[in-house]
Amino acid sequence: MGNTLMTASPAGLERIKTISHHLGEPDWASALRREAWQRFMETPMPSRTHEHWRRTDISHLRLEDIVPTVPTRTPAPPDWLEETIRVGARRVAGTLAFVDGALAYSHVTDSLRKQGVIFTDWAQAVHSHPDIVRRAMEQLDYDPADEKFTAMARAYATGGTVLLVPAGVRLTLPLQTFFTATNATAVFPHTLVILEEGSRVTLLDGLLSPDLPTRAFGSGVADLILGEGAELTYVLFQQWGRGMEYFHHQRAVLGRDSHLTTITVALGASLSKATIESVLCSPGAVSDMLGVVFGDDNQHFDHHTVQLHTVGNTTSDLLFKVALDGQAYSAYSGLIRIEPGAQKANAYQRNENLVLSRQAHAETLPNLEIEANDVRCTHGATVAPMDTEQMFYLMSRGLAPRDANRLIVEGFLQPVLDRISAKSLREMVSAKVDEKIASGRF
Amino acid sequence: MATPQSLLDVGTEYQYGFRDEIEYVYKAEKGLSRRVVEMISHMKGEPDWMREFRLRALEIFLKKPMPTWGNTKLLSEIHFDDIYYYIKPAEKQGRSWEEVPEQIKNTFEKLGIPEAERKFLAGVSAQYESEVVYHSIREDLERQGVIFMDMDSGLREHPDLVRRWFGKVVPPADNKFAALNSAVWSGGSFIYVPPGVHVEIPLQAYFRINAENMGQFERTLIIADEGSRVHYIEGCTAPIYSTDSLHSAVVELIALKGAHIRYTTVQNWSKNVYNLVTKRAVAYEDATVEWVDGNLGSKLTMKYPSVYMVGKGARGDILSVAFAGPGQHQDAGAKVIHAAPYTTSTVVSKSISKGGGRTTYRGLVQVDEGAVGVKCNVRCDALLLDEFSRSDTYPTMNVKEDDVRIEHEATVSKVGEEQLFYLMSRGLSEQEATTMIINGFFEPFAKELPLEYAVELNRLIALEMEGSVG
Repeated sequence: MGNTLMTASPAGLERIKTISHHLGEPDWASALRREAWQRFMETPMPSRTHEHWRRTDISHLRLEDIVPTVPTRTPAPPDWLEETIRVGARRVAGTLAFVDGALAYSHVTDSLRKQGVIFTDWAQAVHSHPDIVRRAMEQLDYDPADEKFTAMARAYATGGTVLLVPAGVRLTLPLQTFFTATNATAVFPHTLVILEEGSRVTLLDGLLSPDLPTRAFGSGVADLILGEGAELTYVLFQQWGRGMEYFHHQRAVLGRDSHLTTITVALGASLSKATIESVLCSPGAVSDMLGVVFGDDNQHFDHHTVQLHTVGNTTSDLLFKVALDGQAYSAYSGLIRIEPGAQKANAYQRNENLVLSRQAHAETLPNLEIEANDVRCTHGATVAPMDTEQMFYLMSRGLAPRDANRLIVEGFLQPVLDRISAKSLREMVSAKVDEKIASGRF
Repeated sequence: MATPQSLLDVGTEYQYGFRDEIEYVYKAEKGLSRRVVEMISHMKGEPDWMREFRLRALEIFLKKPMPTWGNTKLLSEIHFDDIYYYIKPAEKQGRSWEEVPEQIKNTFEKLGIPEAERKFLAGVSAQYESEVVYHSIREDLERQGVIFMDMDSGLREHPDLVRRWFGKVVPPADNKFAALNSAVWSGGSFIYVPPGVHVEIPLQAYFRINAENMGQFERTLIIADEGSRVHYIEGCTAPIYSTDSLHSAVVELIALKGAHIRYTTVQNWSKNVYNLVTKRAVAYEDATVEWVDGNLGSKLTMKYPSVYMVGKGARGDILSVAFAGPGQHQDAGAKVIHAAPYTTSTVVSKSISKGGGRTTYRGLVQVDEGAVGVKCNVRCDALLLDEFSRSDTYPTMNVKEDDVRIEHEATVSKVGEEQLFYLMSRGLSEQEATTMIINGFFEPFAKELPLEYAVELNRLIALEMEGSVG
């Protein structure tokens, strides 16, 4: 057991000094860390009366008491993670794996290195590329509603992935990074992706662990910065074990004519709350946001998406599919916001909920705030049970009810998973989704 | 095809913005206190339970914070201490048209209610100031046992019925403005339709605000007994005043087994009025409640008509349209709560924003545990006529049951260029074409209205559109 639960706030300050020292961080990096800690301490715990926090009860959390583990040695990836890494290894250009906040495995192909792609951990990047990382970090600007958690993540982050793709570099093979918890009871994953002009890459960010023996906490941030004409496919694959309560904030800033595809796959954790945000602030930017949630037992999911069009001639699309079994709960709230003057913006948002059990509970709040008129904004949301006609058809073909059920749920979620263009990642994620569906009551 | 001259003639001045000099019999002091509430109750000679009800509501009102959602900026500009909470215009209620004071008749003249219509109506319950001054019920309705009177008379003449249902659908603690209304309510309609009775013609009431800074807190209670049927229409026009007025009504509908209630509103308060209204219906087994709700006037409207379907097979239909011009915020919507199996509902919302106006759809679809076989469809369409206006859509769907089908769809767009081009190629001016497209957009609402209201709606839209394009 890590000695992660301490009381009294100054312990937190001491701890970030130790972390900074241990990682040998330059002054600017430790200053940013202290600043983030200050903001974390000053920001009050979000109140349940705040619209953003109405659907997730966090009153039991004592964030000030949580202190991160200082990574003291290089751990080895656990067997199950090695297996996952090995399966995809031949078809990816690079892999990183973090265990309890420390880099445990790293592999990048020579060709990747030759092309000047930086794919490394945070501690390394602050030394090797201080200017780029620093500039990116100083520009970050999160939704104030998440401030308590994003500031905490930035103050306490130890491991985490930094990916820099130079101008014009277009990678065909994807990259993957995994973040897991074994002994730590608090994790703070941090991902920074910077794509320069005209570059292209696919990154899978996996947050996963087996079921945890005690309650664990996590707060993570992912920052995606796309330069002019850049193309990024970012897959967030969340399969924390039960016991984890995980908070996530993903923010993408899209440059001129850039194209972002973000695919969120949420299967794990006891409680998870995520904000996924695309800021379309340059003309020609396109954001495709997709999501799959499959919940069972008494899992709690709360996803909030933001399609923010600050300028015109921008396009965003969203498809979020949620299947719920057992007593699982899912809240999906999405906002399309078109700011004044953002003419010729085009935004779409669709949330579909498949409710498989009488005790499951789905909430959906697809919101629009439109302040320009020459726009096309549409959203749709549905909540429906298993289609009995589809069931009947499959069973009339000789399938057992259990198999028919499984096929229908897989078929419901698959269109989103199909959008992962990198075959190895698609197969890996699909297999894990199918595995979870199959492990259910069907 | 050209727009009829009558449409274009409608002036830019707010046509009902006149103001009569009326001698007030009693004028309460400004502001709200226990004493004011007790005085209101005393003046009306109410039973003790109602006085207690009012005082309890006052306490709730004082305790409850202002809403932290919606247009909090406009809400914060309401000065509760600067409002008259009760004004009694005439001592006695008119029994027949002849007995109605001349001055008030003049007001209706100016409103343009045709003589024929008055006779046609089953009963006219015209709330002028804070109290109903006139109502009549056609004899055949009376023979059928239909009760249609103002709420104060209802309390006096049918105390048991009122006590059984009053404040049961919208309890004072529901929200701050429901609490305010419960404390100071005055006037409004009380309707009871006996089992099996179908009221063939719509019952109507006209409301007006008069007296500067006067609040209007009417309270309407409609009970449709088993298998009965009734359609109630309220329309509002109000004179323009220099400072803000507050209108905060509570409407409670009870549709018992197999009953059918339709409640139609054409809201056209002058553009300085805060219209903060709680409208809620309970539908029992196989009952149907329809809200047809049009919001054209007011500075800020916050109104979300709702239907609680508590009996198997109940149905709720809500049709809502909103038009927001300069300085207006129409924060309207609909709530459907499916608390029983095999209940169905549809919500259609249409809104137009123009000249910096803002429309908001705020809705709720809730399916409680055990409410199997529920079907609900929500559709919201918004048109933005210029780049300064704003449209928001905030639907919430909360589903705690698996055997249900819920659908929601919304679009926001501008007036289609192809439609405009087509109409203009047929010789219409841009303004005429735009007006026609908007009338078409609102058509599903207009066709649910009685003819005279539909005509009025078209005239109002033409009026609003004047000078907005070209």
